[in-house]
Amino acid sequence: MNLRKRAEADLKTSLEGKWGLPVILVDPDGNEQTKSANDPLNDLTGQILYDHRTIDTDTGMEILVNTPVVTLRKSSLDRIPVDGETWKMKFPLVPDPEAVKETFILIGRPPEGGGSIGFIRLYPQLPGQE
Amino acid sequence: MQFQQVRDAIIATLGADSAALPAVNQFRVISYQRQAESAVSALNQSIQVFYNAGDFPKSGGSFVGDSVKHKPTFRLEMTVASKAKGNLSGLEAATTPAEASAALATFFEASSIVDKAMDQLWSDVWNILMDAKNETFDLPIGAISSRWVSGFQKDNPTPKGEIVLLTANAILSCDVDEEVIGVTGTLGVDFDVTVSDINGDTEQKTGTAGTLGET
Repeated sequence: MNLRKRAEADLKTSLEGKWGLPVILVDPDGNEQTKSANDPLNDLTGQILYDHRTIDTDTGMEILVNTPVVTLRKSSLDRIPVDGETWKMKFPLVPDPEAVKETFILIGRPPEGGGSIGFIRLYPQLPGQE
Repeated sequence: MQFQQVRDAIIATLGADSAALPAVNQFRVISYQRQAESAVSALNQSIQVFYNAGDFPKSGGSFVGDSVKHKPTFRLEMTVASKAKGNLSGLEAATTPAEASAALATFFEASSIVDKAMDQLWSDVWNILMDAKNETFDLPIGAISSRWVSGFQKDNPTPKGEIVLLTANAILSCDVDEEVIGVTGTLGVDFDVTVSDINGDTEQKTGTAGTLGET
């Protein structure tokens, strides 16, 4: 098997395996995805990190921010988020698959990755009420 | 100095007039230059007012006891911050794709919200500072003159996690007259040395009493 295909297939284990947490996506047209496109019997899952490093533009120093980063296997998605779209995402606020899912919004910061191996990295935000 | 009264008067005026604004437009007034401000605390829009520079043009009268002309510059640092906002309750309650899509369309990214919020804050602050009733900031007539907002500069939005921060600054200048009052030092110990005649030297009136020639 081509190594890239093998790496993409491995995402089932590395992103969606026992480390995975359930994610619900709602695209800009309002269509909800709860199940994996690769395996419609199972929930859509992905890797969720609850903080990430970034550069503070004021100081140029690397800082840790407590906003989540969600990495999903592209082939498991019905529709791939692109820059400029607003999506709703629901997933647990803590790394527990049974925890209550909180509503996040995917807006502003564009998705990253996906071109080389087949995963996409999303930066959802906890929104405020207008 | 007089500029300190002017600074306090500007802060008091901004605070009082902010309270008269619609609740969503009100802002906090901070009377000094903060070392740092967290993005979360900046969610309440604020303005820092502080004395930034002073110009003292030289004049002949100043040497003979007239007041000294002082052109103080006050710096106004404005900060706003926001998360992405929209019809969150509508999005949570949506039961059909059409309702969810409509609710999603109401969301604006944080940088768009803070840009509009800063424009509104600046509009309110400028209108307060340049309001005719605030020409002397409630100080006595003559205490301040030529107040003028001479510039405004908006910085780039900076994301701090999911909160986007936007700062801007403006310059307020005016003329005040300063009186040189001197400085009252710490009182020392009273002493009294009376030397009327040291070995017949009637010119020596001060110094340590003793016999001339002593070391």
